[in-house]
Amino acid sequence: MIKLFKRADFYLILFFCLLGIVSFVPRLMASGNMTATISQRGQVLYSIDLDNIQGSYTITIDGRPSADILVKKGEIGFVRATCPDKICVKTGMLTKPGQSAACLPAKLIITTGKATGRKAPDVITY
Amino acid sequence: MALRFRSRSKRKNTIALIAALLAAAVLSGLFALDYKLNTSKHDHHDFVMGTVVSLKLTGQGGPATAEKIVKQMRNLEYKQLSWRVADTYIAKANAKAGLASFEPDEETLRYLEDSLKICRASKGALDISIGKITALWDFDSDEKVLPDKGEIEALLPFVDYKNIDLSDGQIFVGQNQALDMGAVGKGIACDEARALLRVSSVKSAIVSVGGSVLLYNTEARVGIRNPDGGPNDYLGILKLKNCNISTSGNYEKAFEFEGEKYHHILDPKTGYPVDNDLAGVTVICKDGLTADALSTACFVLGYKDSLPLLEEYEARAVFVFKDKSVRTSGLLEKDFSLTDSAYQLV
Repeated sequence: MIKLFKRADFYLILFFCLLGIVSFVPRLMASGNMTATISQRGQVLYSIDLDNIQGSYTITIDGRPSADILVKKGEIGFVRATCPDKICVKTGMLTKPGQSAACLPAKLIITTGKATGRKAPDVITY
Repeated sequence: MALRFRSRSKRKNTIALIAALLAAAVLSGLFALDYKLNTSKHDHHDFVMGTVVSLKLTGQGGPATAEKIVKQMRNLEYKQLSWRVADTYIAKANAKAGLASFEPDEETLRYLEDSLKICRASKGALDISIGKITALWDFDSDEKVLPDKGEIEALLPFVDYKNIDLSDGQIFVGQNQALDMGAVGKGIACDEARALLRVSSVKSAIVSVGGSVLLYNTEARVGIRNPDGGPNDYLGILKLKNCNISTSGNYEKAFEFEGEKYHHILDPKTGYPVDNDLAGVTVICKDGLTADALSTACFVLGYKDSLPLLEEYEARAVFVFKDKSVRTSGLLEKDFSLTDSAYQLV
């Protein structure tokens, strides 16, 4: 009886060890690429893995005003907008996680993110 | 039972082992489920109050909570606070300025009472009765033109928060005055977000309403915008937990006219944008309205005159000067670090 419970203890310890390792898998998987999200009026239009871009391409968001968003490997940003002040274009290309560019008249926002990377701030106060 | 056991005791032990493993599996499953639910993240970006709202929610029910928060913020803008929208309580009170009182809802009255307390404490460095002059400048307009100097001078004597009366649950706005809650609106939106988060299953959140930030049940690295850089450039990082942060700077809604730069923080004593040695002030305190109000008041007051006000409200602050020097108040060394070498902590 004593011998068998010792073995059971071993199984239990092994089980919890395996569980511990498995629970870390999602976190390890999450430490991946730089991503970008393009949202308009709170709706996500595009989610892009910026590290897996071959060459470059432009996304045109139609409307009043309309805007062109350039997507390159590791970079994204507004390159054209028909709004009066063009603050979104002046923001330039986003190259780091935790950045954003917004076109207020078009209610359009680009944000960059990454599951890990503690160097960049979580939010900017302005 | 299909299995045969050599002895009764061995069978009992095997059943005990299986039961223990099953219990462990169920328990582990529950832990895993709990972990997944509590760490599930939902990011939402939207536009309210003429600015960007960013919600980073962790925990259960993120999408539904985000929807409620944005709806409440729109309610603040379109029903309660905006002077631009004709049917808000503030706009209705402004329309009766000098003539009659207006009865708003309890929340709007509370926001006004809290704002007026800071108007008094700052001796008018924050003055929510400046609305008529704010409207002349109209920083949100696409047409960037200077208001007429004579019009500003004519309205300036009427800028006085002491002429706003909140007796008997009514708002009375003085003659030639208009309420402008622009200096506190984003902070109030953060406070409303906190109230909704408290009754939700969201465990933690980072809420930003046009740069006014709420850290709810979380620690975060908060970058302070570099006044000389773009929207994503920061000069230093605050490490903070469970608080509100608000910044007033000379770069927001700024425009150039005939070679001169004009920003949106008006000095209630001159009617013109504040012109002192500050480029920005970041205030950290326990609620959004106070953080917002104090950042504006401190920007108007300047560094030295702000210190007693900050002390009164147990608030901390970072002052960024035009000469790129940076001073802190109430912050420990571990709380704030400069990241841009062009700036110097003094």
